[in-house]
Amino acid sequence: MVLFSKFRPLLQTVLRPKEQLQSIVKRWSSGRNMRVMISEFHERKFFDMFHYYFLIGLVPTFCVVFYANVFVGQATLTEIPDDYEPRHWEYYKHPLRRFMARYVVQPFDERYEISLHSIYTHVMRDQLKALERKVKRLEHARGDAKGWFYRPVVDHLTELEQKKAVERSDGYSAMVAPRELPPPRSWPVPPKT
Amino acid sequence: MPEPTPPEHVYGLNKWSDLGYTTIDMLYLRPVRWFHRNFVERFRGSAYPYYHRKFGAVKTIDQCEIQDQICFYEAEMSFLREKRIDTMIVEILHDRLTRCIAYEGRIDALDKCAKEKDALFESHANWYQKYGEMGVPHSCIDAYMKQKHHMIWMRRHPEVDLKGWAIEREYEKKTKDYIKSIPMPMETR
Repeated sequence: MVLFSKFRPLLQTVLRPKEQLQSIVKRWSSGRNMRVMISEFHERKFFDMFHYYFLIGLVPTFCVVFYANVFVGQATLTEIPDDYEPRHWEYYKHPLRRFMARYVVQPFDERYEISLHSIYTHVMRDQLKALERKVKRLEHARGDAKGWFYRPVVDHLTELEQKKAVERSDGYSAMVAPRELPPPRSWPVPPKT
Repeated sequence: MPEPTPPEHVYGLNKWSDLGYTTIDMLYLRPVRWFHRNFVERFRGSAYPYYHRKFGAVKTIDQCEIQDQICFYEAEMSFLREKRIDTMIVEILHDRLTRCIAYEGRIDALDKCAKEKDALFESHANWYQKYGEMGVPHSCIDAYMKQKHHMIWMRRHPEVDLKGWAIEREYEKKTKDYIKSIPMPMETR
């Protein structure tokens, strides 16, 4: 960008103003002409702004990186002592990487445990939902449990129907020829003599 | 024979003999070394350690109970870790062979790099047997099933020799024997 000023003659050949405007004779003697040039304001302004905003980020970054690499230095690989459990950032070599691991990024082991926990939660949730579905299904099928829909009304006809269904599943021959005698009558009560 | 002595004077080696190395040395290595000796080593803080991460032993997929999703996840993660390690191993062995060839030269490498070549061949074959040709994506269960099918196949075909590198060595030996058997007047081979 510094060398752009050297390219001004080239700029003049490409964007040459008209021949009449090039030399304005203005109370000067012959031979001395005023050169009509293209404004340098825009390019100077653009490069100023570019440098300003670009270096605002670069200069501090470069200083930080220089300090971390030159004065702090990278870590040395050592064996883990027997009674010591290293913190999660002590598994990284570069000081900036350690900084990110310590203050910015989620630890590696924590991420693993969170995944395990979410799997566990999902499995539990699925099992409970399946249990609820089974319970509802059985309650609807049997109709004998005291749920929130329960009304304490004895449905003789339904009970009779269920008994008949059980008997029918044994077969019609069982009804025709039962295995035992029916139980003795309990009513009417025989008179005391 | 008496022990070989190093040469007293290496002909052709002087400060003008390699312009490229000298240029790089002057422009890059010497300033960096100077800076490192005079500033970095003086002002650098004390050394501090970093450790190599150790992963605990978890159950593999064949030891997991049915419908134990957590066990499956842990087995899968350890499978992926081992796959990455094995990939790095194969990559390192490949690297060694390349360096051996670059050092010895294309022709001498046929004789001198046989060990590296065998190691790479064997490790590559084992990698492929363990992790390859299962389709993408694949899980630890697919690898387990592949192992099972391989063992069944081995049981059904006991006569097949699965050591491919032995076949390659055999072929090389036959080639060399053939070349040796050609009668030539002097040792021009």
